[in-house]
Amino acid sequence: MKGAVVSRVVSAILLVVGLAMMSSVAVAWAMGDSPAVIRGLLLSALITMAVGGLGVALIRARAESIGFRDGFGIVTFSWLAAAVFGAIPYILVGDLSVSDAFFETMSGFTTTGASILTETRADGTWAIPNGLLFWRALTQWLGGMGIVVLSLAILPILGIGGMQLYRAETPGPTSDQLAPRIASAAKLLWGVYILLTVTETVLLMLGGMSLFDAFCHTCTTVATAGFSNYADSIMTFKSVYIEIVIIGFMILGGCNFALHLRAMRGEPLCHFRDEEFRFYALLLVIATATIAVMLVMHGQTPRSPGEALRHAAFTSVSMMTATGFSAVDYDLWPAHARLILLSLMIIGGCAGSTSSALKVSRLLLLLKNAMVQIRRSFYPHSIINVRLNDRRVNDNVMSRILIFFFIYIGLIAVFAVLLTLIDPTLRGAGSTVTINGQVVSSLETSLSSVVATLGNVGPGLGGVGPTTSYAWFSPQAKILLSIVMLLGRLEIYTVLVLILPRFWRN
Amino acid sequence: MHAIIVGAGEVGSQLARILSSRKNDVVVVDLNAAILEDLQSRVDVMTITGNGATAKILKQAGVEHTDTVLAVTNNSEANVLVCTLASKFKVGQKIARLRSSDYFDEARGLSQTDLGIDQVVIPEYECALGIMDTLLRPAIKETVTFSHPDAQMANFQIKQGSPMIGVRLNTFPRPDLVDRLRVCAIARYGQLIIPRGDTSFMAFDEVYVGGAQGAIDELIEWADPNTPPVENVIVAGGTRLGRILASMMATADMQVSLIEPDRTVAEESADALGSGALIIQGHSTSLPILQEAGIETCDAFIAAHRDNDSNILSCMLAKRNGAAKAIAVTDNPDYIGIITGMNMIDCGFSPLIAAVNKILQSIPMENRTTTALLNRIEAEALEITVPEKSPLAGKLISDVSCPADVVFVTILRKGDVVPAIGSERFQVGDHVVVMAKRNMVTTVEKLFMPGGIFS
Repeated sequence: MKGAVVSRVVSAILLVVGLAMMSSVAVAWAMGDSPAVIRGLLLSALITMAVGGLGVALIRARAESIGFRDGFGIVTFSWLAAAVFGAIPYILVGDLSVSDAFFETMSGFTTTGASILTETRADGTWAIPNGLLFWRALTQWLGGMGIVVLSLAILPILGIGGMQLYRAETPGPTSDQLAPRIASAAKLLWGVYILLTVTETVLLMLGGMSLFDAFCHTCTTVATAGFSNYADSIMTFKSVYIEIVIIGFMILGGCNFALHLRAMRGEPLCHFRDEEFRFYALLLVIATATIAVMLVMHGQTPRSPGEALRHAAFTSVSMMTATGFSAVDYDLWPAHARLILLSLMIIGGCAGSTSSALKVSRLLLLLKNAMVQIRRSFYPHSIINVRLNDRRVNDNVMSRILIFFFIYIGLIAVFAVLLTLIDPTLRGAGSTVTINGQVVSSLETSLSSVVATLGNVGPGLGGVGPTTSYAWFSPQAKILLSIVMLLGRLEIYTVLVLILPRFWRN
Repeated sequence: MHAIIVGAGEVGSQLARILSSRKNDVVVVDLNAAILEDLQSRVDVMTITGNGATAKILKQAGVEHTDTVLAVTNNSEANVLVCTLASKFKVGQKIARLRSSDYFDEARGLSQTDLGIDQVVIPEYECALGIMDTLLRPAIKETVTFSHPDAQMANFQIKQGSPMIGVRLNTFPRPDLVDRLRVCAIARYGQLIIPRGDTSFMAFDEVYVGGAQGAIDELIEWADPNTPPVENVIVAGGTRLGRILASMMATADMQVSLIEPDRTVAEESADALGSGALIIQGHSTSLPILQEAGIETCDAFIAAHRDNDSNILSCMLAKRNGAAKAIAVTDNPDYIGIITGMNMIDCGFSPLIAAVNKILQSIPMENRTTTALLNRIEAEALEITVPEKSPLAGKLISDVSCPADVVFVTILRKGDVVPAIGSERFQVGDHVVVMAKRNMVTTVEKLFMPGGIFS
């Protein structure tokens, strides 16, 4: 890794983060926040931009020499730097502790949507200034498509070696190339993203939301992140229309954006020709139908089939796309329904989408590979290959996916154990633990909090369910979970190469 | 500009690297996915695995809105087919790399334009032209030409006993010779030196000069008056390049001997060349064979085997046994630096570099007409137009902060070749010849562009 190159590029990306932070100053002013809040936000933005600007101005390095090793360093450190500097407003304006602020910012940038906020105002919104609520929503929006990809689109300085950065930030099992130059591909992706954002904001406003609420919730939806301005999330609105709009855009956010682009370029039905999308839709339909039937048959509270279907659909989509919005307290559902939700959290959305976790295409390829192995044992001399969208998936890709799956499941186990060791509340617990007066399963709580942060979902089950928050974790546990979120967002390898001693040598 | 390159071999990847670094949209098509993956990890291009000679793949590569299609696979027939297909999609410029021009025979029906090819590039032919140039002007080792027919960059070596040894640029004994030129680089034992006023020349320095051809020839005539014209040549290797060279030499009235180890190939060469050349069957790494070909009186020995090792070894053997000049051909551009650094070998040539240069010169690009990779140093010669609103327009050259490893060589202005000295001003529309180390090329181009904060 070349330290100078990495620091210079990270500085440039920090400059972009600072510029974005500046917009929250304008929003705070327009929404009537107190002058102290506006000053605090302005100061945070200026600090970020000053550090970024100084880095770009003072560190001399040729951008031409970004190697693929530097790509990993640049992406990981950019995300860490964004989370550190993005936390300043929470500390200055929101009076949060450093670990809380870092957790909340990392949760935003990685589109996790796990929150440590607990206090609310009379109208049900979180008790932090509007400017900060906006910044909280904006971090998710920036993280959704990727801050490095955004920087690629707007800073020509990153043009050379951009492929390395792009790959390190959006690794995915398969790569679609959208344009001959990486900078133009980044522009196209952000174009689609902005278009989705504008459309959803307008649709939500038609459903009666204010512009501010509509924009903040849109940022959350298209980025499949999870923060709501309200403690009761989408339950606040009690509107079927709003739920349907949000379901629709969560699904779109969980699709491969390359498909959206092709659809706009004149292939309107291309989504249905894509195997990954078809499998994604199939899984959603099956999960929704199963959960709806379970709710009607075994639910604690009696409800009509229509209502059951509505709750099942919203929650399945929210969990699978790793958004984490809640329109109902699913933690009261029967165990089999909650197990399905936990599985959906592990699967996640499609490759090339704004959602994280294992990804549908990886699951699909794992299943296909299993089928191929079964057929091979029946026809020992046959030549059977794994194919996706009529293209052969070579063994190299297949073994990478298997290893990814292994590491993913392994990390869940390792971090769940670590979490129960680090956190004092969980450490002393038996099979149940009392959190905020509620008695919940300790195993469910620790396991689902790691699954929900590694998959960038947000709320989990038990002690981190839809009506509770992550506030009760100790500061060390919050830092640990923040790192887990980053691992999940950057698909593990990009961060894990940093533990190789060779990486740090020139 | 949008360009599709079919074939990701040595020529295709060099083209992809250069075109992409100049901010062009490049799509590379090849059958081999592994090569493409490797290319993509180094160069910002889009790659497509598949047969570029099919409409389906070409469409995927965006042939409908591309400006240029470069068909540079090893397979001539496939390259022709790519161009023919591309012409059906109304592509502006189609360039094909071919083995020979025998495909076309206007008189008997099939012409180049019938097949939709705008420009044929035969690597061996381009390479042979380069070699011939250094033989016809024997003191010169390499030349690069530009959009102005008279402008040139040339490389020559200072021989022992030359009046240039120990001379400094600012106290040059014959100022009339250097005032019309720019001395842009010196390769000294493989090291690139950018000369300044107080740099003095040493024996065996290889000097790059740029300017009008006449002025270059006069300087070399003064610096190296004793080099006799080339009359007796030996070509080792009856390869395509070897035969093309032999027939060019025969046409230029040189005495040619062609050495070829393989009996059948030797017979074929004899049939093809007729009485123009003496064909000797045997290996050029054997001294008796070289003697039979007349190595003692040989003015130039060119090793054009397919095999790099034989070329290098036979050049050394030839040089030790009397050849005045030894030239080695290699298919690996990375070897050229090593070859030219060897005392025993005078020049290295690569058909692939020759092909890349020819293709780059044929592609119209914004603000730039010519690029050439220099054979002997890790540098490129560029011809860049000063665009409107360029920060350079109207500036004195001495006021421009010229980056390290970059030299302004000449200005081509309305039919004049003006040396780019400090007291000259850049004007809008000037074509400026610049020599730059390879990693500085983008920096040079930025210098000419109207600026932005991050660009």
